[in-house]
Amino acid sequence: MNFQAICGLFAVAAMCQAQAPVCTQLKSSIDAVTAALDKFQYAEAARIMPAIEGARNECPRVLLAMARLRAAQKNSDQSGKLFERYMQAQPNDAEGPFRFGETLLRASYFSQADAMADRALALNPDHSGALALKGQLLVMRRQTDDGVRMLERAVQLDPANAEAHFQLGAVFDRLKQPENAVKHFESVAHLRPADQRAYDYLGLNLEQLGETDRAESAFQRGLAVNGGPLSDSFLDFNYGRFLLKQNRLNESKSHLDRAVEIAPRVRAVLYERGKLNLRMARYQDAARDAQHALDTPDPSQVILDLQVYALLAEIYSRMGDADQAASYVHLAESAKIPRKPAERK
Amino acid sequence: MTVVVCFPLASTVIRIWLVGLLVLLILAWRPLETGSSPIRFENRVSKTGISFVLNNGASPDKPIVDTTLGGVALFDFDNDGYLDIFFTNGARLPGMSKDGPGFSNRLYRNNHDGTFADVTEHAKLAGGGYSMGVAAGDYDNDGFVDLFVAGVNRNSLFHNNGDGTFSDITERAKLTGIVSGKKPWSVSAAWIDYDRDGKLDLFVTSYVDWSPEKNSLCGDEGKRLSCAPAFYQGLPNLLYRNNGDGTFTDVSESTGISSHIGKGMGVAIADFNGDGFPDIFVANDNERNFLFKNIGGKTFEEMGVPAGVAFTEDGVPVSGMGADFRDLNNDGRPDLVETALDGETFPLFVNLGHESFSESTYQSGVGYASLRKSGWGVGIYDFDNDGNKDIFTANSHVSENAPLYGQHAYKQSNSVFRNLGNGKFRDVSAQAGADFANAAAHRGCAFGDLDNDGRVDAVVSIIAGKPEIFYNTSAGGNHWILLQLRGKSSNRDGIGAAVKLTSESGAIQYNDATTSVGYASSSDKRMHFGTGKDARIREIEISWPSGKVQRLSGIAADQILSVEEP
Repeated sequence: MNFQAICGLFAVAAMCQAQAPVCTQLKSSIDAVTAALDKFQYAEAARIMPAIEGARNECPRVLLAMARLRAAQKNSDQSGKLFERYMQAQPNDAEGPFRFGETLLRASYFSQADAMADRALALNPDHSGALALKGQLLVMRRQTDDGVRMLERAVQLDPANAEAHFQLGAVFDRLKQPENAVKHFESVAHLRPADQRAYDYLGLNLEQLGETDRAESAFQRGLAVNGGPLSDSFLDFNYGRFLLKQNRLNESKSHLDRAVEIAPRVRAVLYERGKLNLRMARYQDAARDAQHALDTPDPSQVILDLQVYALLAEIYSRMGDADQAASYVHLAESAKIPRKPAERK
Repeated sequence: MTVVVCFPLASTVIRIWLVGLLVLLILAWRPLETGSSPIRFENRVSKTGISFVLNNGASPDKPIVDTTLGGVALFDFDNDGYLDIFFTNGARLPGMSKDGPGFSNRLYRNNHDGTFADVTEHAKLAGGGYSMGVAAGDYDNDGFVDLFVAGVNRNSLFHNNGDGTFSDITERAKLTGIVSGKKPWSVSAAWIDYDRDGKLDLFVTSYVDWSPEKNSLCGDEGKRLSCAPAFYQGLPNLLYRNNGDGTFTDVSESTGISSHIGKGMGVAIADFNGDGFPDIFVANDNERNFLFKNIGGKTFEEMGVPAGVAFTEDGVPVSGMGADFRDLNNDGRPDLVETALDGETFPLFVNLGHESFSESTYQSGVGYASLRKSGWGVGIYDFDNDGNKDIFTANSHVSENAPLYGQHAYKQSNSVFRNLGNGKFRDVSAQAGADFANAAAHRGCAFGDLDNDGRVDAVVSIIAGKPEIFYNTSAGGNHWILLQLRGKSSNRDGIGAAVKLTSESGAIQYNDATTSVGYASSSDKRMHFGTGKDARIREIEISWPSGKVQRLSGIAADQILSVEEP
C-alpha cells in the first residue's frame, strides 16, 4: 500500500496530502529523534525535537515522537493528547497504540495499557513491539509461559527489539535462569547502551554464574551511564554488595555509602552497610545502620526482621555488650522463618 | 656449534632430540600453566564387584522420604586392617518394608585387592524398614566396631559379634527411637563420648513428623515434587547415654537437647571451644542450625545464633544437609562446612575463637563455586596430602522432577575444593578426572583410605544407581600418616581425641577423631594427615577424651601408626 493510498483511508486526509515533501525533508531528523527515544536518550531527543516539531501537523511521525518525549518528560496530559492525535491521523498503524500502551504501562495504568496492546495487535499481529508489550503484561499477570512465548516471538520478528530482550531477561532473572537472562541483557546492552538497568541485571546474573570479572565490568559500565530519568538507584547497592563478597571492603564502602545517600529509607541498603561495617570492625557504625534498618519498614520483606536481629546480635556480641546481644539472639531465635516461594504448593 | 657444522646428520638427530625434549617439557609444564589440580579420583566401582543400587522405592507422589536416604559407612568390621563398606537402603513405599533383596542394606568386605565381597546375609545386616543413616563405633569397647542404623519409624543397633556376624540388639539397648509411642524419623547419628566416661554415647538427628498418611503432595500431577520440610513439623533430636551394660538411657530431655526442635539432617562433632568436651553441630533443613555446647559433660547449651553458625552472613537459614567440623586453616580451632541447596551456597564458617564464628563462604572462594549446586555429603580431608584440608561434596538436587520447574539439574556432578592454604579454596572439580564429572543423584558419602596408600578415598551413594567408589589417584609424592587410635581409659575407638601434629618443617595441623562426617554417613575412624614434603613428623600430641595427653616424637611419615592410650 503506497503513501497516497494509506492517506486516502484517513479522515484527516488534508494532513496526509500535505505531509509527504516536508516529512521527506525532515526524515533524518525524525529518525534520529525516534532512535534516541528508543535508546532512552531523552536529552538527545529533546535537543533535536525543536527542529521538527513545527511539522507535527504534516508528519504524523513527529506527533508520535512528541508524544513519546512528553511522556518521558512526565507530561502525561500533553502526551496523551498527542498519542490520541496520532492514532486519529494513523488509525491503521499499530505503532500508535503500542507506544501509547508502553507509556501507560510505565505510568502503571495496566488495564489501559493492556487494551492498547490488544488494539495494536489487532492492527498488526506481527508487531514486535506490541507483542513485547503484551508479553510483559501477561508475565505481570503471572501468565509466565504465555508471556514468554509472546516475548520470544517479538524477538524472533525483530532481533533488535531491545525492550523484548529486556523483558525476557527480567523473566529469566526471576525464574533464576541466569544463563538465559545474561543472553538477553547482553543484547539490551548492545542495542540500548544507555540502559543502566540492563547492566545492573547483567552484573547480578553473571555473578550467579560465578563470572565475577564480567559481572564487575557490567556493574562498572552501568555506573558509567547511570543517571537520567531511568536512573538505577540500586546499582551502587548491588555493586557494593558484590565488592563485599570479594572482601574489597573499602571499595564496597564507597558504593554502599552512595547507595545509602540515594536510598536512605530502604532497609536492604542500610542492612548491607551494617554488614560491611561489621566486617570492617566499625561496630558503632554497624549498630547504627542495623538499628536504622530495623526501624525502616520493609513491607516487601526483602530483608526480614530475623536478618536484622541476627546482624544486631553479632554486632553487639563483638562490641562486648552481652545484654543487647542476648536480647537480639532471643529475637532471632524466636523469629518466624517464612516459607520460600518454591515451598508453596 | 662445531658439531652442527661438521656432522649434519648428528645435528639433525640432536635437533630432533631437542624438539622432542621441548615437547616433553611443554607437556610436563602444561598442567601447571593451566592450573591443573593434583587432586584426582577414579571411580572403580565396575572393578570392585559391588552391585549395590540405592533403591528409594520411588513412587509417583514423590514423598519427602524418598529423597533423603543414602548413608554410607567405611569401617573395618573384621579387624583385618582394611576398610569395609556398608550401604543403607530404602524400602517399598508406602509400606516401608524391605520386602525384597533390592531393598536390603549391604555390607561389602574388602578383599584387599580392589574387590569387595557381599557378606550381608552372613553378617545378618540386611536390616528392616526404611533406612537412612549409619554410624560406626565400638560402643562396648570389645574391639569390634558396631553399627547404628537410623531410619524412618525404626532405628537399629547391630552388635558386632567378632565372628563376621552382627546381632540386632536394638530393643535390649533401648535405642528404637520411639519416644512416648511416637516413632522416629532419624537421619544421621554420631558416636560421641559426651560425658568422657570412656563409653561411646549416641546422638541421633531427627527430621520431620512424616508418615504415608500425613504425606503432602506438591507440584502438578504426573510431575510431583518432594514437598519442602516446611510442610511438616520438626522433631527433637535424641541423645542416649551409654550405661556400659549394653543398654542406653535417653537423656535428650535432661541434657537440654530435646528442648530445641529443628529439622535435623547432618551432624558433626568437634570440641569447638577447646574446653575438652565434644560439642555437637546439627545442620537443620531450612531452620536455623544448632550448635550444642557441651557444658561439662552434663548438659548442652544451644548457641547457634550467638556463635554465628545458625544462619548465613545474610541472617537466613539454609536447607542444611551435611556438615563436617574440622580445622581448615590449621589454627587449632575446628571450622564448619555445611552443604545446602541450589542458590544458598555451601556455607563455610571460620572459627574465630571465643565461641564465635564468621561466615567466609564468598571470601574463601566456595561461594560462587557452590551457588548452583545442591549438596548432601561433605568431608573435610587433605586429599592431596599437602598439609591443608580440602573439601569434598556429593551433589544432586532434591527432587527428581525439579528440572520440569526451571533449570535446576537433578543429577549433578560432585565438587572438590582445593585448599590453597591462604584461606582460599579453588573449585578443582573439573580437573579431578573424567569419572568425577559424572552427574548423578548423589547422596551420602564416606571417606577413608580403602587401599591403605595414604590417600583419602571416597564412597558416594547414588539414588537408583551404583555407588561411586572413588579411589584417590592424586599424584605429587606428598607424605602422610594415618593414626589408628586405641583408647584404654578412653573409648576404644579414641573418638573425641584431639591431635596436634607438628611435622619436620614445623608446620602444625590439628584434627579431632570422629566417624560422624557429612550426611547420614560414617567415615574411617583412623585420623589422616598429609604432611606435604615432610617425610618425618617432629611431634604428635594426642589429648585423649580421658584427659591424658600423650606425645610421640620423631616419627616417620607414610605409615599407619597404631597408638595406644597410655
